[in-house]
Amino acid sequence: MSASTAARVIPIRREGFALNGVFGTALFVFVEVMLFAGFISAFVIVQNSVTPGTWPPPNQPRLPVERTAFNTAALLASGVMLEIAHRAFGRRGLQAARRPLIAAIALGGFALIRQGLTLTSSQLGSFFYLIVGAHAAHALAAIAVLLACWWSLESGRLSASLFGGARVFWMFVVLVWPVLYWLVYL
Amino acid sequence: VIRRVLAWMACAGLAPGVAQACAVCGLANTQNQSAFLGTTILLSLLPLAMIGGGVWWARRTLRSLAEEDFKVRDAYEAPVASPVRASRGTAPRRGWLRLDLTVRAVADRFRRSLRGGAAW
Repeated sequence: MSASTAARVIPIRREGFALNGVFGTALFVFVEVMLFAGFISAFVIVQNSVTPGTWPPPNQPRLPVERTAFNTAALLASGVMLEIAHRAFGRRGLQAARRPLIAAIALGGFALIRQGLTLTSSQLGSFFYLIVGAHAAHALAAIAVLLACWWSLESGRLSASLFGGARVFWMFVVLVWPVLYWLVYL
Repeated sequence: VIRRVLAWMACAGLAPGVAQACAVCGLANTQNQSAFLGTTILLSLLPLAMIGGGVWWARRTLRSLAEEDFKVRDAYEAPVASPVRASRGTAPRRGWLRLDLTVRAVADRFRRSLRGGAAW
């Protein structure tokens, strides 16, 4: 091998294969998925341990299925808007993501407020409060992260790592809700 | 060995009631036992599926990154360096030479594995 060939330095990129925020949030979501899987498992077993035909328990108020379905649609729409915001952020920069991000926060806040009203107007049992309440707490935290993203965007220093991590967390909150709705409400 | 394993599994399958050891799954309710079995499957397979999905995603991302790296490398026209001089000041250059050779060897091996479909 000649010296000229050997001295050739190849400019291979040395970045990580994922943003730190996205990777860390993905690990956190992994744990959260297992937490909700545990809740769901306990709920399903208890639901099936009662005498057939006695679930939901008698003399309990009926869960607002239709109103929560609307809630679910708002939450899913929020997820779609956040995905649009994230794509706009990647392709056209900060300001392009502004409107869809605000729409995502508004739709998520709307769904959370209505979910909170649902929580206080029903008495199906401890599992209902545990599962729906845990989801509401996660939704509240995710909206706080989205608001932090919006604040960073307004000040012109929103990073791809923060936005990507918020996106992963919000998508988890959005996508786990239809499963909970199907199991608890229907 | 396979026959023995199958025989043991068949024997275990003949007495599934013995395995109903916990207070929840031991209830005389078929629906409850089905729920217990289903949730056990869910809790067992869910982490494996998530880990598998993560590995698949990382492998796909690393492959696409490597392809971009090779394009950059193949298109790169490095300036012709001066011959290596045997003096005290050439030690770092020899270090870079070793690093360069290592990177190229690893990259070539990765590229061969991608072309051949072999595992990295």
